[in-house]
Amino acid sequence: MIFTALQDLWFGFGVALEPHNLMWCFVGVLVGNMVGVLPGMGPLATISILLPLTFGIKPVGAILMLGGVMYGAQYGGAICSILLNLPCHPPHAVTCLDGYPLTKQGKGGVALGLTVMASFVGASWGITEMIFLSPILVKVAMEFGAAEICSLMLLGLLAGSTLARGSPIKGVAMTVLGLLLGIVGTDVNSGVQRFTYGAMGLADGIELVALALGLFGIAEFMNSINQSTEINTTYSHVRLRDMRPSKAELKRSFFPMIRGTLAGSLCALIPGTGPTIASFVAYATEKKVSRTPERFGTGMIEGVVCPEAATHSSVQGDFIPTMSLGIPGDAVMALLLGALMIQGIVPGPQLISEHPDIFWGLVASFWIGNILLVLLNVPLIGIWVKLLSIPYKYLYPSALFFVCIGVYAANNDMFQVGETLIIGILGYVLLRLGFHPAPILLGFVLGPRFEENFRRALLLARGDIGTFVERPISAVFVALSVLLIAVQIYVRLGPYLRNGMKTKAARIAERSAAE
Amino acid sequence: MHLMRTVGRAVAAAAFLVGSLAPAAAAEAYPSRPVRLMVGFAAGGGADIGGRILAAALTERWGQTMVVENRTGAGGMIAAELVAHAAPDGYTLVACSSNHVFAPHLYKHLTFDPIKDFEPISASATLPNILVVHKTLPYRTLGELIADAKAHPGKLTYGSSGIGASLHLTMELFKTMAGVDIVHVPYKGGSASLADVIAGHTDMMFGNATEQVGAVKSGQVRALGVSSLTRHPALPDVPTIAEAGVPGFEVVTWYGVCAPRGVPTPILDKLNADMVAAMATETYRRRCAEQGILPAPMSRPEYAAFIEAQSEKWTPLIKRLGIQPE
Repeated sequence: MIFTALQDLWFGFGVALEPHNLMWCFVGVLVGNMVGVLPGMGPLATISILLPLTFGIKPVGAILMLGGVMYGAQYGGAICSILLNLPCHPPHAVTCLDGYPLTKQGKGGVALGLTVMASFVGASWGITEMIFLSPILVKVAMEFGAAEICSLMLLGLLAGSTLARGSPIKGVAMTVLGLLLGIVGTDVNSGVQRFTYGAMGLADGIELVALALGLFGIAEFMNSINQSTEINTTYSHVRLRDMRPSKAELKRSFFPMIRGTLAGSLCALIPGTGPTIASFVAYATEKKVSRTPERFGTGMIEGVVCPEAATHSSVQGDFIPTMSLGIPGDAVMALLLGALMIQGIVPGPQLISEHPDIFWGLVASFWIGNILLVLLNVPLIGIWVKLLSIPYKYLYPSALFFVCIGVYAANNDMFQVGETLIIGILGYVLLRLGFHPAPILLGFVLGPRFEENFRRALLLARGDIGTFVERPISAVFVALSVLLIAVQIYVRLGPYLRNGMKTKAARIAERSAAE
Repeated sequence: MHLMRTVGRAVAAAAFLVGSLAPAAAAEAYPSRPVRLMVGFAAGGGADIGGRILAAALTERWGQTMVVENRTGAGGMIAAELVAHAAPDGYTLVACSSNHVFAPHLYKHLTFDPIKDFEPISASATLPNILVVHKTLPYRTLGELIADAKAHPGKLTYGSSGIGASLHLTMELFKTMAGVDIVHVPYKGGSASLADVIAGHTDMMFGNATEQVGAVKSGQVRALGVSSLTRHPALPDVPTIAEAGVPGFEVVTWYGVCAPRGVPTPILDKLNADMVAAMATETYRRRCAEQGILPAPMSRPEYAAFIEAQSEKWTPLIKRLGIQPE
């Protein structure tokens, strides 16, 4: 089986390296990379704009280009997150947490270099997985019904509320706020509009892009207005040598890269979880596994490398259900399928047998595209870092301007630009009160999925709540959640329970001494 | 004096003639710049593809581009609102479909009337919905399914693309006419629902022909019937639901083009004539056949009557289901 896969892959490389197709692949990754740097406007908007172009191109070239836009956009996204604390797209929001402190220490170039490396590793694994493991993975994905997804979301919410620095109760509060914000919109199971107050722009909920950019971009920008902490610009003249990470840094980032990649590929499998959730999961896992969790958020290399690897591996893995089953995992995949359908090609299991040039050409082009992106990005790092030498008073307003353009370009909707600004103000207020907004995003993304699948699972089980523990995969996740809570309780209350008597006696002694 | 009066009358007559010709002249010059077709759904979806095929055919005919713009949200109503409030010069059109008929029942705070604030031009395509079941279920014909559903009410489940969406209402109509009780499991969109039917978490669903044909042909699901009165050309072995057990059952998903109210009649008539001619071209028919949709040219009164009939057909069912505008 492996031999035939390798043979087909060789054939795919032959298709992808044809000059015509190679050109379209290059166009795709170039456009994707550029679009990725622009905050807000993501692969979805770009592919919609490029869609009419594909009418006139042969199907192989068209799909290579559109695929290139998709994963190319992920490469560009990390740049602003690390250098400007402004996530270009939701999956890169977590990268800001450790990426920006690194820039403040003058290590922005190093962080970017490591990110490109991590991206390549993550993407390569995702591609390999797609080639050799698709049938198994698809089968596993089929086993995930509503109950399993619900339990997984529960586990994710519990684990992820430790995402923020500082007081855990503030982290939980922010997660709950995220859950509440996720309620806004039309409910799937009843058709009722909740908290939309008649505004049609809110009928489909608050836009994720608006939330991510508002909370992480605009709020941070407003917070830093009067603080003018100078970025260490001694490193702004970055030579190629400076961008190369030291051996120690490379060693430190090896395992986080692997862990991130695995987290990303797992998330790619599970329907409904995308790169955003993958990056959060990877970051949270890394923080838990690390020996110095309290240093996360102050500029840990692991905290940058891990989510980026996860994002890339998840994006590549997202192609699996789309290409092998013909079922799109999200809106961008649906667009890609639509582009194929316009060309008269019906995606599905028979795509591999009927149009092997498209499938294998696409897979081979992933690798070629990723190599092209590494070649594109590494020399550009120096230029991006030079951006930092622009004074704050010009840099940040321009960034804000680009945020507004990007959000508008994403959906041609001024309402969403307004959403972004209002959420930005809310985020600023929260920051001033000492709350960190990262868990809001987590609650916002996981909460609605939890609710939707909880009600669907009960609907399918005719109201039997035991369904969550009767189904084996779901039972595992529920058990892990319970374990997580139990461990937290033990860690916190254990000392009190053990020394309960002594504490009480000590208190009585104190009281009598005071009288 | 006499001469002045004659000249005056001649000038008045000339002005009158020119004035009456002006709208017709404007219609002759239409379109003199690109025309925008607003599609209320995401690019790559069925409504979007239908719109793009038509836009390509009209662009070829006119020499002026018809640009498709996607404005997703609120079940297509955000795009509709934009067009309802646009300048009525015929350069901003909306790709309408059955959601214009359903919308008044789903959204209370509309700033426009989805039917009265638009002038219908013509339908562009129709397509049926296909009833598919999970492949390990034992039903080979629609009759077996109905019999089993009648014997065990509430045992089977069906997926849909959302409350109040056409797939939901199609199944509800089926349930009413066949006299069966099947539990509704709503999803966010047709693909999510199809994924669960393929995996077996839900038993069946009515799906958009464009989305389903691939899955049926590859054997991932089994098709038991199509909802139109004629068989689908891509699936000639699948009977219509009307002939397979529920006589009189007919549901078609339709795409069309509407203009905002107030566009001058000559422009509307020209648009209709151009659309009908574009739909007769070989390229349009071929592209539609590839997607599994049927061209549906209509005159303006026919289309208006069609929309009216759809509204009358679905409103009682929606009210009975208790779907309230929010």
